[in-house]
Amino acid sequence: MTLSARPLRVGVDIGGTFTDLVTFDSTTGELSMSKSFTTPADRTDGVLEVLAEGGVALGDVSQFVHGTTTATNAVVERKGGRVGLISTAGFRDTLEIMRINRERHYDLQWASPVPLVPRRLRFEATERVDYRGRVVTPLDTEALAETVAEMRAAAVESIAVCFLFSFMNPVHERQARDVISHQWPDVPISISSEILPEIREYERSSTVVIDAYVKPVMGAYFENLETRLASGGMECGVTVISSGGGIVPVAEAKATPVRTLQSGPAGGVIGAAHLGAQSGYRNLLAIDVGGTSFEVSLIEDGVPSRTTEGFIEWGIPFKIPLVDVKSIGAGGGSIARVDPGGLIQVGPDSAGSEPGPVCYRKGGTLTTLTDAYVTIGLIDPAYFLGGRVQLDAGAAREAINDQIADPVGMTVTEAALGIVRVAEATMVGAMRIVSTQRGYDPRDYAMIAYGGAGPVSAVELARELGVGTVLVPRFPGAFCAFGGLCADIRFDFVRSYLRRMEELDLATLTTLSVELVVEGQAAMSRIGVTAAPIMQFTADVRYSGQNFEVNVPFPSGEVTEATIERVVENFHAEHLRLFGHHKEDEALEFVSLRLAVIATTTKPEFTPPRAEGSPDPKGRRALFSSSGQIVEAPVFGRSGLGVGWTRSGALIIEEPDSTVVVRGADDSTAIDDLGNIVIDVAGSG
Amino acid sequence: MIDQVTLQVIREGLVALCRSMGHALSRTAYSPIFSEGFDFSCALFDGTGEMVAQAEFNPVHLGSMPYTVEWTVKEIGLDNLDEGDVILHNDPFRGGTHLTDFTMMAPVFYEGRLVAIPAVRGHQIDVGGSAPGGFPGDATEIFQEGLIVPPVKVYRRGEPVQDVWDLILANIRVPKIVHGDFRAMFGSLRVAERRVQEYCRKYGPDTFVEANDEIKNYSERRMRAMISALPDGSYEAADVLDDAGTTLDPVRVQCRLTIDGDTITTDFSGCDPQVQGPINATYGVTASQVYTVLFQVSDPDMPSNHGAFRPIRIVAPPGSVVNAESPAAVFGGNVETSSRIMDVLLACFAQAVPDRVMGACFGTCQNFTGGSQHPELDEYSIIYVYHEGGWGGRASGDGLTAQINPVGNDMNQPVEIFESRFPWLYEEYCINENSGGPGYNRGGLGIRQRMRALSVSSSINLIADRFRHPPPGTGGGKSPLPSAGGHYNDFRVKLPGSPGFVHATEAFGTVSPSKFAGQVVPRGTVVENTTTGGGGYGDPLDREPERVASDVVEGYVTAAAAESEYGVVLRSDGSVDTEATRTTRRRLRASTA
Repeated sequence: MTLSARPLRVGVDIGGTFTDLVTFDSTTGELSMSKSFTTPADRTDGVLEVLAEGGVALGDVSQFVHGTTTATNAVVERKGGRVGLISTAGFRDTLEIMRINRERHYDLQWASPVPLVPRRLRFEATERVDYRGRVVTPLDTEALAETVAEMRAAAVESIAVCFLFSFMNPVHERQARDVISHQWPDVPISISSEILPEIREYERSSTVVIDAYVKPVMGAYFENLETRLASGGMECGVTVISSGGGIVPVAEAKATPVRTLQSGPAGGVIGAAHLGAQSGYRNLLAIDVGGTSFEVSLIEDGVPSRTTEGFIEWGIPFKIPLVDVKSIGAGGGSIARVDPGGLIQVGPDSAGSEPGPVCYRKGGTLTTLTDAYVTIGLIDPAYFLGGRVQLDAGAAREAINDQIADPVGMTVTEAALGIVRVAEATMVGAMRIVSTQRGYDPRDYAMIAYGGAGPVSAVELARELGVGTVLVPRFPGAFCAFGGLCADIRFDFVRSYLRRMEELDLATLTTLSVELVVEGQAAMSRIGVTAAPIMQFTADVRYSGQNFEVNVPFPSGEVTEATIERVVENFHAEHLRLFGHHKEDEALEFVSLRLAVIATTTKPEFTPPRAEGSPDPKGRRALFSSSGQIVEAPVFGRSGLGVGWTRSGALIIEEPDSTVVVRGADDSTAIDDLGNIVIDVAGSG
Repeated sequence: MIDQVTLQVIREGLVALCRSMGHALSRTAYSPIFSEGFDFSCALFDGTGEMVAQAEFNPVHLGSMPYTVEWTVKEIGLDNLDEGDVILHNDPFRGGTHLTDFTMMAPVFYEGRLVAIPAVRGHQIDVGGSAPGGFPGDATEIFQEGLIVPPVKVYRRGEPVQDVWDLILANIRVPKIVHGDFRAMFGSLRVAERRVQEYCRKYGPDTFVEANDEIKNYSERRMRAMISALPDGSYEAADVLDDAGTTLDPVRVQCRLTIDGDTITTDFSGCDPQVQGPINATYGVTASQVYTVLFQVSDPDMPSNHGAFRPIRIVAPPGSVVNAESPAAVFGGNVETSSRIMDVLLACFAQAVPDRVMGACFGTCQNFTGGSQHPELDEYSIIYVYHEGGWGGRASGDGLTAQINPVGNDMNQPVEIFESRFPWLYEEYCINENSGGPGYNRGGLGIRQRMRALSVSSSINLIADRFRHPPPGTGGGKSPLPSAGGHYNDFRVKLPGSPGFVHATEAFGTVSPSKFAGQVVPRGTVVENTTTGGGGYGDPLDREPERVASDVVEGYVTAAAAESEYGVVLRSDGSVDTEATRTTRRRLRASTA
């Protein structure tokens, strides 16, 4: 994992429509970007194409950081491997029973998610461990051997094991793995106590099953990619962005592929945290808006919020360490309609990129947010994706007229404005969930906006939330690829230790922390990191009797009474901040100890771009200002704007992969020392 | 006049506000019923006490929340509400459901003007009374069911009214947990208060109030449009509950549905009078089912508020099993009778819009509760387990397997959470094979749970139904076959030293196999709760033989049932014997013709 003397650091991110490339030349400090279409049949084709498009000589590459949605797609499209699941006897249906609730309250035609393992491939093992980790029934290894033979006969490609209370005592899962691998050495095995040693059997089963399900697909994909890059002359290894926002060598990603889910969005947030801090903004709301989704994350003092609650789709959770990215169905492709009560609705369904908005002229007939953008002048139909795609503004107007304006009795312009406002209100709602709902005041934050559609709405979202500053980085449409280059090497570990706070045994806690440290050091040395990594402990704590935990800092060093006191203080403060109330005389419960092991990497120190071309407006376009007035706004090309450029009032800045729209008469816009566009939002807060 | 876009922005914002309340509640609650189960509801009422927004947590609270707040406003009076007041209320006969469902509400003022009343309703784990955890299956009047709390202020101008708190908590078996959950409910009201005040600041209180009115008008318009699209006519259906717990007589639930232009009337005049047993429904429960079914068959995305209810007329004679009067016992009305009301309403709609309904679902919540001393954690604990089952087949496909009853939308309590808190060990939690009602689209399957008592002695209670009367199918679909224990839904118990599982009637000598209270069982006892599947949709003899064969491979349907119910004959390798299937189907069709 040490960086070679070769100059080129490469980040590649595969999204739904585009595969993005950002390169950083460490000799010149130059940053550049390329894009090509994603190739779903074999996604490595798109990677090779974008590298060619960017003129990358593979022999010059010193670091290759990869973010990909391949694992997520495999689950969504149900194109993963044929998994056999082994559960505790009596519980093979946990995966199908799920949590017995439904996504849609009143919809009698709603279909629940199809389990990743059909019932005929769900097997049971005679064994039982109780809630304290005591063995109630020993594992019947002979019967298990017969089960393995059955699974083999059923042509299973990958095996998942999830036993009750294995997070309290993994002995049976480990024995089971030994029995399986002894009998069938080649089959990949995922055991829940290693993937997710945490309480709640459905969520743990789901997580370990997803790991087993994507393992054959991801193994093949990564091997193919490695081979093709190596045969092209690349000598450095491939590294992958993990869901937790660190980078790991591809071998780790192949071994535990569930950790690569959401790797693309995580890359974006890491990039946002790094770039924001460099520009002097350590508290940030990061928004990423594409064709189908709006994603928002909160960065506090340079550190992205984290969670362990991920969902691939409703009802299919994976609980692994994640950069907390809240995603809702609101993007350029979101469909607008008039509901039966006569109000405008936007999303959550999307026309995506196929058939896409009406103005794409690719068969889409339903009005989308992009159609509204085009209609009110926020997007230039002749300069979409740098002119790569010609948009049909007339078709967009017509759709809005027929589907929205006529039914509600508005003008086309009013209807288009209405669509934008409703969509932006939905986005604001999502931003409140990650900020105010969690006890953070958005007025203490700046916003960083990326994704093709992010910079279109960012300034208005900021105004609504009282955010004073909006930052638009370079290459906003490929920002997730850039983010990977800023990521540290990171592993996360957890140990459950469920005890009332006053019954905590300091010696046990010490042992657990030592075990975690040993595990962390082993992981780092396994991938060749020799320098001492950063170790960050946290603890999950709750009021005794509560069921959800609050994650709080756990002081490092020797575990003493003082350590526990600090944890208790941290908990009360955090509970108050999160939920608005706390109770200091109430007993607490310790749930688990977590460790993040981090090896920092050298971040790209890029030089700001030189202005190329004219800094003068290339034209003017009528747009609706934030107060609803029509204003003639100047349109600039971003490449013409150098460091130090400033301008006040409404304006548009275009670049090939995005459009920045500033709608306030009193807003002021500048290019900072790193080449970011920085907008001072008037009337916020 | 407020413009439509601002209206939509505020409307969606208020629903999001209600969801935020629920988020805060679930994350800080003590009882797994809240934090894992989501057995609560959050809604926002305007300054006149009419509901304007509600988050999607628990449908059974949908229609009854409004009555609770309405009643409170009527009883206490808008003029007697002060800033910082919080009111608590659980009386079923004042708009409530059953005694464990507590509603907490707080008036929100802006510049001295009452602008909103957020309310949160949650199922508390205990409310005193004869059965730990509630659900006394043998109650004959409400006074046995627990503590009744009429609308009372528990905070007055921001200060807790300690006397009232002390009085309530002294009547509850697990005061610490219940008090913690009340605190969580209180926290969620604070969340709502802050957001409402932000809205008033941003838009001005006049616009906010106007928006509230327009939101109700909007829902009314939308509901009327949906009703207009339904075929006019009058439709009738009836069904029964197995028994009232205290006797074995079936209890009749009947409805006449009339669709007339943009209004709907549901007339329950043909229902039995209220009974001496805990299955009487209050008016709020009945109204909830009417609204829920209307949303189901017309517009599942209907924004729920007072306006949506205006075009709907409900006729429910006072003193009947669907509009009980004090002192009737009502604990099961909210969970069992509610389910039967839904069944008859859907059966009415099946005649009007057959492609929008489903076969009847398993038709119970099968609430199993109990109390016992934990041998290791050294505390008295109360369990509350509701059971999921199969839903009916529907036009779009097979019914849902292992779903909570449609009157609720709670999650289950994970086995690992349950065993970490309560002295029980699960031996099995699986799908009840072969329990789906046969149909062109099969009913979903029920489940079976077995758990062993670890405490020296545990007191247990049950309220369930559809043991003896199976859920009907629709459009030619059939009822499920009986489960292994002989009933459809079923409860059995295996006492230590006894050879096998027996029904409660035999083990405890109870009148009803599905409703009892206060039975004490020793350590080592295994209780078994089984639920049936849903009724089928369409003729099972029309189901594609390959789909039947696949069900047999997955273990959803037995090979014997494939032949007897679907007329599909399989070879030993599991493939369809086409010729034998054709012959068998011809014979079965002839025998039913």
